[in-house]
Amino acid sequence: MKPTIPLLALMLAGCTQPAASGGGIVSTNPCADAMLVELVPASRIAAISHYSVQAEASSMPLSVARRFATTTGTAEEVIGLHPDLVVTSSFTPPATLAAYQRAGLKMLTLDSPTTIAASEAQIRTLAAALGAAERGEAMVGRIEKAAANAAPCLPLPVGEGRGPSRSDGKGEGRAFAPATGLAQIDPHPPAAARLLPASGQPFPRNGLNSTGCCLPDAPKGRGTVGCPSALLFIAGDLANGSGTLLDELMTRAGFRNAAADYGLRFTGGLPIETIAAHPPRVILAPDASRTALLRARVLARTGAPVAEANFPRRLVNCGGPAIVPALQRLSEVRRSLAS
Amino acid sequence: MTRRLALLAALVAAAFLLSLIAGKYWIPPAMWFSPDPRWAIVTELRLPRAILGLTLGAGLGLSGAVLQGYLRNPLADPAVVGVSSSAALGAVAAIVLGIGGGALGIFACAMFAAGGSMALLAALTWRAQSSVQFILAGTVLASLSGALTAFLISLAPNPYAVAEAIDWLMGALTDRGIDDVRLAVPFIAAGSALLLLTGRALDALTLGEAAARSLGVRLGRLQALIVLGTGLTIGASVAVTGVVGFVGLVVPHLLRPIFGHRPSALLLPSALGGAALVLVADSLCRLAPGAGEVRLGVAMALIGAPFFLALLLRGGGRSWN
Repeated sequence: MKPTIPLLALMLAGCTQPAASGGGIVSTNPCADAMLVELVPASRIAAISHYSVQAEASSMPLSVARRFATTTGTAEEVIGLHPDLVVTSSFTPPATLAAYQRAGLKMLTLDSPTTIAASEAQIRTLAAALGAAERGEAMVGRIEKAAANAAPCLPLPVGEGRGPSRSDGKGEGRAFAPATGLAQIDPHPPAAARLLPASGQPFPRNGLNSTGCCLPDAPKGRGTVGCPSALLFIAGDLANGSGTLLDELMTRAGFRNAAADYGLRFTGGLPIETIAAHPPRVILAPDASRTALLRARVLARTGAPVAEANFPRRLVNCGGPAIVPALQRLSEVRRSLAS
Repeated sequence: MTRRLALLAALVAAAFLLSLIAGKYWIPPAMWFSPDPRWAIVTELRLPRAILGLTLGAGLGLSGAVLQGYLRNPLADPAVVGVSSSAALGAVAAIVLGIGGGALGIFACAMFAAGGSMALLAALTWRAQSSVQFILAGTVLASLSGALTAFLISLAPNPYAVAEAIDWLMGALTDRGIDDVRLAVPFIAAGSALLLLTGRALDALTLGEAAARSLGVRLGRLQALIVLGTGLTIGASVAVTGVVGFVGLVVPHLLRPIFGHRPSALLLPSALGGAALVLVADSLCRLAPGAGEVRLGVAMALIGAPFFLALLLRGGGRSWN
């Protein structure tokens, strides 16, 4: 028995060692990870989530993620680090949250934002909790700038501030409400001013298409210039429908979301039949899925001119700083279609 | 008997036609062979899907009838042999670990796992040659594969792999093409042919194992036929569609009052009945409201369970003994 006591003491000392260095921030939320590394100096981050070091789930470059320690988010791992703050997600199991709470850890739980505005609000919340409000504002500013640059031109709400509804009747509540500072613009502008660039200045003709403008939420053939429709797969055969952040990003970049037109809410599978009957102008996907070959063959047989473009997996998982490259990629594809 | 069989065959033909026509977009025969782009939907998507549904349903119905006859147990269905769970394990392994990439990798892994479990089942039951040993070994294999599948899913590197694996486990014919038909149909056909050879032995077995032996039935040969036949049939079905349950359990029960209780008289009708059931269910999957489709495995249980319960209530189990 006796010899084990010093050994035990040694082991316990080993366990408590991190406590000495303790403090710092632990994030178990991969989306928070991506914001965290830009908001605070690396020395303040005790650990990020294990998702961020995996290429298919990460929202930051792996070279950045690998500089940090990771946890899988279990209570033991996190409590053992004695962090000042744990950033969790709304998908963290309740039992784990309860365990953090019992350990007296300060927690910040972030949900998955489904609009740019919600993502910006989340950045501000996190930045405030970290005492990095200025960097938070800078990040929001970068997103605002990207949103302004992405749009060939932004449609303004028609009538009582609501966009025309979709032809399938499923578009109610999807009226285009600009998330950035544009909401204050007069909802009853003169007809000629209905289409404005994001800056609010008259639209500069930059050769995007014949007019450079489209009304993303308007059904085709109703007196508006139709945006090209795009179908975005976030992974494998999972398509991105309405009610998602990516849906808003696509709309901002001047696309109609084809999946939303098919009636898909949030994310889900779409049978090739549905896609082939009303083919989109372009299909965006991070990788070739199990059915991609068959889909390409059927679309070729129907004779529809469907372009294909890559949309990196790193851009589909989260809002926050990933919004900037996501919007850049979307408008890049949008411009390539117009030329 | 022949007339009833012809009626059932006509039902299968009608269901096959329905599954070419029905969907979110109805494509009536008038539109066929036209330059209409929707014709491509029929040739590239619905035809392979219907062929697959036909063979898959036939294979499932037939293996259900054979297993219920062999085990003399009304609860028997292809799931008790453990082949479907182990094929699913192989498919999930391919998806989660990214083996082989694409449909071919999934098919190869699922067939490999199904073959492995078949060999194990044969080794476990070779000496005893009793149906109790068979059902116990199969059940243990099924739960072992189920546990390993859950373990693999928990190892998935990202949520998308989890979603894809679970999607596979629900079973669907959505977006299966001619390549899948080429992969699976030969195996299902070969397996079904082996299962059709068991009729006479199964009839003898209704008198009990000892009596069957005295009638000259070689139980070892019968067991080998069943292991190989269900392994090929169910393994290949799961390898292209995921797990579709209920067909093998329900169809023989539905048809027993019509075609009698003799196992051999039930084999062909069960194959036809299974084909009709899967084709109709798959058409309903496509017709479901919303952008996506209902999973075939889910639809099967939704259709099968009430049917089965009604049968139990009406017949009080008389359809069996």
